[in-house]
Amino acid sequence: MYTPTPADVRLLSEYRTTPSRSYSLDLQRLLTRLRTEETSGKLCILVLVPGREWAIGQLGVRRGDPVLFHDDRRFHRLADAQWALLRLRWEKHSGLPWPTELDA
Amino acid sequence: MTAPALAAICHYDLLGYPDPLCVRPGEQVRIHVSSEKGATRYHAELVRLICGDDTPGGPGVQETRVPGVADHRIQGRRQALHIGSFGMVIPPAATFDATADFTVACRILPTTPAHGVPQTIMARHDAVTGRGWRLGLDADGVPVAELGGITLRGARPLLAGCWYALVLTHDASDATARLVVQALRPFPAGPTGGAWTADIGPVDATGLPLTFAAQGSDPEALRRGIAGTHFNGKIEAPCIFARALDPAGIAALVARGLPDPMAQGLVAAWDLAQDIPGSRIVDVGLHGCHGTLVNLPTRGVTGSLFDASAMAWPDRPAHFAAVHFHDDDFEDARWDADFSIDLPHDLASGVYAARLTPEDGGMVERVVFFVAAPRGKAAAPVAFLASTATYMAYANSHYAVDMAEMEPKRGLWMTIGAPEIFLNERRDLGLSPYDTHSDGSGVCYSSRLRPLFALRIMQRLWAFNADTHITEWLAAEGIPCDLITDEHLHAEGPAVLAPYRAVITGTHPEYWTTRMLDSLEAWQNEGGRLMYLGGNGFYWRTAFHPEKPWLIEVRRAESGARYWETAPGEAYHSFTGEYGGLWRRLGRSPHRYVGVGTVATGFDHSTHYRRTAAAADPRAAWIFEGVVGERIGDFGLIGGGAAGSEIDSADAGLGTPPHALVVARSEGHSRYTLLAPETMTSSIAAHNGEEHPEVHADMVFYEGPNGSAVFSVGSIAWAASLPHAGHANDVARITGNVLRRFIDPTPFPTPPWP
Repeated sequence: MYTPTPADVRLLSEYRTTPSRSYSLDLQRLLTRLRTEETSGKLCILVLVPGREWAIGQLGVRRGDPVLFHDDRRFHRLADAQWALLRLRWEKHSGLPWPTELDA
Repeated sequence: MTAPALAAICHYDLLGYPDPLCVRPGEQVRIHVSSEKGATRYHAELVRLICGDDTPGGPGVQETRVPGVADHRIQGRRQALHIGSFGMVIPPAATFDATADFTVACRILPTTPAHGVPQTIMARHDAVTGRGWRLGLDADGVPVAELGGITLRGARPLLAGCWYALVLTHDASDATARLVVQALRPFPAGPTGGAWTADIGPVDATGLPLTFAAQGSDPEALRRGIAGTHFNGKIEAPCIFARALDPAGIAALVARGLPDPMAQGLVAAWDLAQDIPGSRIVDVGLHGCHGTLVNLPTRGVTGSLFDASAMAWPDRPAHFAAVHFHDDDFEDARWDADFSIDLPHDLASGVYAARLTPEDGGMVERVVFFVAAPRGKAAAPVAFLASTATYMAYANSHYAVDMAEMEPKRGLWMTIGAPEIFLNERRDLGLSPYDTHSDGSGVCYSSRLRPLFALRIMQRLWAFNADTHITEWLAAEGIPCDLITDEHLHAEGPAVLAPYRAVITGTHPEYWTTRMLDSLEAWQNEGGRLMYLGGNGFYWRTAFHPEKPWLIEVRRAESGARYWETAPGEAYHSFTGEYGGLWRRLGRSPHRYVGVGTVATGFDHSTHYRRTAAAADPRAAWIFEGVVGERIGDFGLIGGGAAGSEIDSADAGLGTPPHALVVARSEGHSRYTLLAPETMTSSIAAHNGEEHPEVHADMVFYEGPNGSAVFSVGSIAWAASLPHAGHANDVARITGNVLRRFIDPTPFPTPPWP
């Protein structure tokens, strides 16, 4: 099973700068890996106000458990919420530090 | 840091449902409402819905009030929901109470034996006083019997998915009770049963109702679906004797299952293989103690005798003599109606809603229903067929949060909003055939007697809400168009279609009963012209309940894009006895009716069509009048293109007529646009829109018998491109060209011989 490596940090830059229709195969593989996980405790994006405000949420352990806010951040661009979720998933599944310089 | 999202995001208060869902002018619709806050006072009006899409860049919500109808001010109240199925016999025969001695027995297959809470299998029991007896499982799945002030307990938990016989006897003469548990098939290792005896006090169940798969002592409450300690699993051959069987008698009963109706001392024995389509449980004993199933447990399921020698329950009902109960089954909210609407006789057909506006400024609720054109009286030559069976199937779906594969399948980050968060926690609103029960088995029934989130506007563009792009376009173009419904089509047959020269489908007419499909085919053969403006249509065989039109059933057999699949031996609808699955697998592929059929799904991006050489064929060139470019529909509100979401293609091998013209074909689908399971017999890495040549939508036109014709776009996303640029776009132009020609009575010429 594919596991992200330090060499894949470049793909995070690509995610930031490339329209999704044009993602490389390597980036698509990385994203599929980061999205392939169980639902228990899964982090996701919450739509607070459709088209205007988003947050990071977390599913419960069992089916039907309440969905919780993961943190206090609120995003006013969907892309920012997606970037925040990407970081959380990267840290969870790669075990590698997040390259904070990409947040600039 | 970990505050619940529900309160912050979900502002639902008034929730309601109509009954019926599909009506006609002059009829009455009852509106059932519950207030989440508990006592919201609200103003009710009748509105006609034109468009429900409030997404940025979309056409916006459009509705018009119908003056003088349903102008009410109503004090709301909270109305309860009770889920979980069970059986009940009320009142039990006097014979039940005639003797203190008794034996109760049944066969069970638990599906969640260690459920963490007690489960009841059979009972005549008052949970408050402890009066009566109860046979069940404890929180760990160990068989228990409560009676006479004691609890008899088996030695070990039952195993999920295994059949057992349970027998409980009470002998008043020596004040003993005996619990017998016996697995019906040997395990590879370990004991398969046992018997436990105890001295007990008197047992008095006088007057108590008998329940299966739950317990409750108040007959009226049981009738309203109120019961406790629900059982997940199958029950077969429950019976009661008015005597305590001796060990030999117990052994014979364990071996036999359903007892001989003439057996000595038999009070009642319920043969659950009888009346499988219905809700009745039939006593084959001498006293006629028939019972009722509440909240729609699953019937037409395999029983303890199933051995694969018969796969259809109508062929050998005895092999399907079980009922599968679930603690989250649902049939009817049973809410009292807040008010009713008497529809004017001259009301135009269309999509309507009872608009409920809270006086406290809270969230406005719209209880959507469908007013079909008067029977046999068309006000226009064209009708929009509202996919009400499909809306019922989507019902209250939970796949967005329950299904781990959804995120990688979509190729999008999991993003959920108010509907998903609310439904995740409010499972008491019932599930959908896109869900699994709490025990993991598939949900095959759906009821419309509850608030259905699939019938809400101002949410994800899917099925009903997406279909309002079509009604919005028709209104904007000023094209008179009647509305008809799946429910009417199923109930009344081809007569519903007969008045119309042309019929327009919705974006996702996925669920079709046999009668609906027969009716469509008959109408087409008589000259009907069909515009299929969607994708993944005509896909699953569906059944309406023969006596309860608020229920549909779907058995997901063999193949198809599914969230669960039918268990072995459970592919036949309980409502009809029909074999379930894809119409494609049943030999009636949608290609025969609309020239295309499901080929792929992809939810990250949509794309455009490109005209083919066939577009210039004189038979079809009129479709493109006014269309300048070769690329069609590289815009839209679903994925940014007219071809996407769920797409269909032509396939002569599956029934696309040889003379059909593929006038445009989509291209450039994404890596997450994946071939549907039924299109492949084995998996390879290239089953995606970037690499597989078959992943494309086909726009098809062909002529049929008696001047009929078909135009299909094969894409759910098509209609979401209609509003682009104020409808001044090629998608709208093509749709308009086709509709105007289909309305024109001039027959299409006889199809050319290919």
